[in-house]
Amino acid sequence: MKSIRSYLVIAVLSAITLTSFVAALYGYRTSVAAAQTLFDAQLSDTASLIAALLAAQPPEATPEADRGLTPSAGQAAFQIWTADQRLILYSADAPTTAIAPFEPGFHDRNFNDQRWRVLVRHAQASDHWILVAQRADTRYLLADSIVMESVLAVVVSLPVAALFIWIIVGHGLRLLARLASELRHKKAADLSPLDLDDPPEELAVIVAAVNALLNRLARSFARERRLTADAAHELRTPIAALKIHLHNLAGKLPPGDATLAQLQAEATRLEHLIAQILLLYRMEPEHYRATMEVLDLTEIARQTVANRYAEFESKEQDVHFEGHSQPILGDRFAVATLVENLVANASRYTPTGGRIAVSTSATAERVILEISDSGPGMAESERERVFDRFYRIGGDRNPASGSGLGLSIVKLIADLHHATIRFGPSAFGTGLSVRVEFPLSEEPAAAAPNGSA
Amino acid sequence: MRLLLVEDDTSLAAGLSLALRNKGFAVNHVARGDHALLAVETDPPDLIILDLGLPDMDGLDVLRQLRNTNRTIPVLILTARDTISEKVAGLDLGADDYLAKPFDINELDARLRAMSRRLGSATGSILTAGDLSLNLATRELTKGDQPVDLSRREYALLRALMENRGKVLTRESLEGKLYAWGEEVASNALEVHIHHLRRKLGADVIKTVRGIGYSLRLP
Repeated sequence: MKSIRSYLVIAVLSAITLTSFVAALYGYRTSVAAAQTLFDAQLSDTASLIAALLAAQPPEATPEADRGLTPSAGQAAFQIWTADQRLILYSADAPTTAIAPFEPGFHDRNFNDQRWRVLVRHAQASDHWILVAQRADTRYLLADSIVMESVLAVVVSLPVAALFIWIIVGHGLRLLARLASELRHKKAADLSPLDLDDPPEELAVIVAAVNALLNRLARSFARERRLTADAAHELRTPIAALKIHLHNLAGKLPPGDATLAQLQAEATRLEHLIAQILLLYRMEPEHYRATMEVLDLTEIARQTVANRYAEFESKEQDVHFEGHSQPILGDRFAVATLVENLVANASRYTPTGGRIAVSTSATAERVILEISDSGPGMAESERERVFDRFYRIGGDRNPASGSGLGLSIVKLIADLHHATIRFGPSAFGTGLSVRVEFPLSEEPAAAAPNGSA
Repeated sequence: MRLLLVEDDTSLAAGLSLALRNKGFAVNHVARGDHALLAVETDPPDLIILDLGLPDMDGLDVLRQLRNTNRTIPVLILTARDTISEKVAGLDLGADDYLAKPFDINELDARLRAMSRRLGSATGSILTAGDLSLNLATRELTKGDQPVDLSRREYALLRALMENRGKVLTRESLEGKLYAWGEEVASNALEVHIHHLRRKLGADVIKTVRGIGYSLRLP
């Protein structure tokens, strides 16, 4: 995978290296030029010195006698010729032939298997030709060492530079990492804008674009949900009319008419579905304004069971209720809705003559509502999906199925109360047990006044 | 009992008028707010059922104008708007009850009768169940033809059970009928009063729903 960090480190290092070597090359060339000037001046000085010496004391000796006159490391040489081109004095490493033509000025010549820089000068005073030479490589050696030192410094510092660049780039990119982490940890349903405090210019553009997208998504989702809720709302009056006409029709038909009973059951189902759609919409965190207070979960659960008692009786279901006063911090309407949905599910999926148990209890940290039934239970694979909207246990063809929204509503309410929902096998052998665990109320002393059983 | 139904949905109004007539109400129907106010002015009914979504004006404004002219006629709001804040707004403006659509006709009937009982009208002041007859004005109970003496708390309990015939009342709600807020409740007080009622009325009149509460078992 491409990494901005690696790319930046490699690119910056390459740029530094390249510019360093260009600088070194330029430095080498100027060093060589400077060395040339310097050494040429030196040659010129040497020639002047020899000329001065010749003028003061003209040599008479033969060349042989003067060998060894000039000890040298083999890097400099000279010859002194008379005007009639007789060699009268030369250094140890100079050949006996002229090392350069007798033309005043600088010459580049080869002798002794080396390249030399030669200065030819005609000493006017003594009428001698002075030829002084210096090995060319000495001058390059100097330039080389100057350049090598600067290049070496760059080469040695490159790993250190790499480390620094790596750290600096990482630091510069840390907001990008933060942005990524914020996006990664965003829940699927969370369309709230990203909040990155003081983002740099480059990231601000991305954050703004992402936020604009989130905003558009949130608005279109909201519109869609609003439409569903509005449609459900608009259906309430027609359904009320439908129900009242069915009621009036019932008075004209013989009691127990099967078609009428079916019609009434369908009207009830329609009514339930529409109520659940509206409830789901209203229970969404952005719509529901919860009033949190200390409630007795047991009292609410008992009231809910009492409200539905006729339903249990009509299915000859044996309902067992158990629990002492259990204070929780909650919204009364929401908690009642949660219990109502779970109890309705238990009754719906439990066959005629089955058993249902509702209980409340508490541990050191949690208040637990448990609703068990002797119905068919729920497959492990379904437990993940039951909170999905319009998901029905056993599929759409299950005649017992409800709106498919009940558990979605339960989940919203549980989340509102920081409660967790667990499914397990029921104590009846077959069937499902749903446990809703509420956090303990922070003010247990303010519990409901009567600790009734 | 003369009832004014203010509802703009023709089909619902027709069905509801018929159902309420079958329940013994004399129903007069209007579909607009101004017509409703005019009807109240010319021929005041005993009860009003008011829809909030009217074509010419908001039902809540109808209610406000009605209350401004010092009308004490009981009003039941019957509407598709059912959020708690909307209910509170309606009740704050002087509605006596609130029922959301779609509703159960028997529930509506029970609410209307409870409202008329509060009026103290002759038809609404007697609750009956089986051979029991409870006069809410005099607090007298007769079983068959025989008068039965009730204590204040027995009366409160029996009245709650008779008003919610066929429903199960939880311990908490029944205890709420017996005692004022903050009053200490002996843990077996409810059982004691139920026991007394059973001795006076017959053991199977009040059914115990184990772990939950009690229910009146009479047709």
